[in-house]
Amino acid sequence: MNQSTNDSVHRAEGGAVSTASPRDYFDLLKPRVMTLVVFTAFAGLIAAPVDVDPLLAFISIAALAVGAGAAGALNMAYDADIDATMKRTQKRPVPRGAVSVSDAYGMGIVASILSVLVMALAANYLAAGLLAFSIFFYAVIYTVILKRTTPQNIVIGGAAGAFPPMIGWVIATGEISLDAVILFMIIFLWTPPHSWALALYKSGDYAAAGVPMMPVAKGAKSTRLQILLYSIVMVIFAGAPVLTGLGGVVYGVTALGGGALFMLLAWRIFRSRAGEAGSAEEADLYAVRAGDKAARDLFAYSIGYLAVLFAALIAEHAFGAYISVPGVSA
Amino acid sequence: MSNETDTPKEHPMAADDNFGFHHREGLPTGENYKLTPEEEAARKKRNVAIAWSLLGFMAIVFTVTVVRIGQNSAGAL
Repeated sequence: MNQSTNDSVHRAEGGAVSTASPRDYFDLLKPRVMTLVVFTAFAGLIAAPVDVDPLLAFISIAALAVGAGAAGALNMAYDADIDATMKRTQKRPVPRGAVSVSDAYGMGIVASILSVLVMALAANYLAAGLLAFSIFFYAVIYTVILKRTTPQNIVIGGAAGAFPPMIGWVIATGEISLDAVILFMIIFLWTPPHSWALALYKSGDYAAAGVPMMPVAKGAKSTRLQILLYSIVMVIFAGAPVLTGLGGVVYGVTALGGGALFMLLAWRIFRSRAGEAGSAEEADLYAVRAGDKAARDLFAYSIGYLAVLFAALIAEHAFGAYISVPGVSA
Repeated sequence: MSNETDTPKEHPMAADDNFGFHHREGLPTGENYKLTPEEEAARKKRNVAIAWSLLGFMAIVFTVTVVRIGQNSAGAL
């Protein structure tokens, strides 16, 4: 076999050297998701009633961010076929052909191991165990088992995204308390209305990919009702930190005002025909058809709502804005 | 039919006096592949990124070790 034949065979077998840039590998980590993970974990860490070495706290949060990114890389490797058919995800590194599936798996596994190892060294074994479990939950329970089989995929799978504030709390205290569970539950209950709002106006994308999201499996009307019901439960539950003293007046007012607007937008979705006009064709995350604006508005608002809720906790516990609610001991 | 079942098949490498390694000659292993300038530049960028990541990991482990030793020493006093 001469050299030119040798080279062409080598290329045909996919052996040609990759032209992927470090940025492509960084994109595998889902940086936007990592931002929310870091923010909520930081809130959990700051709200915990224990002082922690700032350097170790910083390293622990960084390990958590890498762990969350690693789970994202494993998700992108497994879901490459789905991502390639959905307009919203077609430009991800794997479906775009920039990074191979095996490289994505490799990076995900290595980053998972290193992040858990660093968490164990910098924080404690419980935090490391929770991080390992959350990676496993997202990459295996949600991605491999739930996502393609049940419309309850993001309800159960939402637990993976709810772990960061709990892990932040455990980094500081070394134990899981009621307040840590409350922070977990807020994000757990927030995930269905947030994800289904997006699924309502991108249902065509999900249907084409064969993902049984709620609007695809049960229809838009049922989804709109469930968004409203989950929103009611979530908004009420978001007041729980005030009862335990975790949240003070600032948090309480934020939860009340933010929750009222959340309910208003959820009610607008319930009263609308969102999800029935078909799916927006554009790849833009926020692009919608005229009838789907209520769904887009709740999706966009829900991100800000969660961020402001946790920002209120940070303001109270890190910047001295905590004023205890009368009748509740902190 | 009986021949196929009764006579054990000869292992492909049974008669090979070099454990089959010479079969690799001529296979497309890629050692003669010449990188294009784009591939070479991309590989260099990835190598630099991996190097920085490893250095970062070493720095983190070193820092954690120093802080932990400091905490333990303070606790022992």
